[in-house]
Amino acid sequence: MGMMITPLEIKTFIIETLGLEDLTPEAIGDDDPLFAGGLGLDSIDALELGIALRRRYQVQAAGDDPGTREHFASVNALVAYVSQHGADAPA
Amino acid sequence: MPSPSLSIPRLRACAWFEEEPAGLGLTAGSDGPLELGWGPPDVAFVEPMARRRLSRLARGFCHCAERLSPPGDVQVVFASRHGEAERTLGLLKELAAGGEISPALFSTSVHNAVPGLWSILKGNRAPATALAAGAETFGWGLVEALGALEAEPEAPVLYVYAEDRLPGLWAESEPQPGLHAVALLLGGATGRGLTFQREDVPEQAVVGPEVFQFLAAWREGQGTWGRWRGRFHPSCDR
Repeated sequence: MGMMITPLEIKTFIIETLGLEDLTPEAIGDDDPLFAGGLGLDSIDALELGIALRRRYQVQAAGDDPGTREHFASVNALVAYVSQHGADAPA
Repeated sequence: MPSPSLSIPRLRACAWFEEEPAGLGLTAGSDGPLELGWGPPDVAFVEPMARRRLSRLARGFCHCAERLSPPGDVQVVFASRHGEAERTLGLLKELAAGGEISPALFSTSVHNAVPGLWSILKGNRAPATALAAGAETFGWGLVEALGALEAEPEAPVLYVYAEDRLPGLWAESEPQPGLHAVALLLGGATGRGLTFQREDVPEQAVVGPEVFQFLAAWREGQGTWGRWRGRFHPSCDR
């Protein structure tokens, strides 16, 4: 498993998945925290992202895995995680 | 036996329609106790991170409720016959296809999600109730709101009714009005009011959805609402 993915792709994916209609990819910093204190996403967003990542990139993010919190911390963390574990969804 | 009556203390009302309602004799603008409008809902007061979760129904609710919301906590009664039917149907289709459903859509599809989101937006800690009662949902929601007022006469009650057209699979054969919401702020011991008397009004005399008849009576100070005949009275002693 593994694939090439850019920060811009992840940002666009986050905006589309979570309906952040007022945000542009440029407004999200690569290392900004996505949750508390940063972008301000909440626990429902985390669940929503987990499902969408599984659907789009075939990554299995388990809610009870302590590593999940780190993988979801920022755009760069998600890029690293998806690059390592992701794959394009079958058409 | 005396005919039953219903006394409605009248503070203010706001009605909003996504599309201009045809053939109801209602015109846009603020006229005494009723503010009436149509077009896109005004939800600019909701911050973007919260606004993205608002459904069509919730946007109609917020448009009307915000215009009447008094300062401080206020008890809310919400009524809708079909609630978030469109979201629910989408979730059911997803489940039937064996997919995973969206947590955000699921959590905002339940019947009390809209008043719940409103309470969070406003930091409102007063109780909120959500109900549905078939074709007479607007009327029974109003009875519920009047009951809440009866229990605590000093505190006004915000009653909000909202309804959207049913999605295709569930659409009824008779034409349904599009998305609309109506909010009434009820209360005040010295408020003016409307009293409705139960009368034998011939069924065929009743035209259009009950909520539209009620709005016309509210604005005019008299009129027929379903099988009730109402008239304005200058003081509403409770």
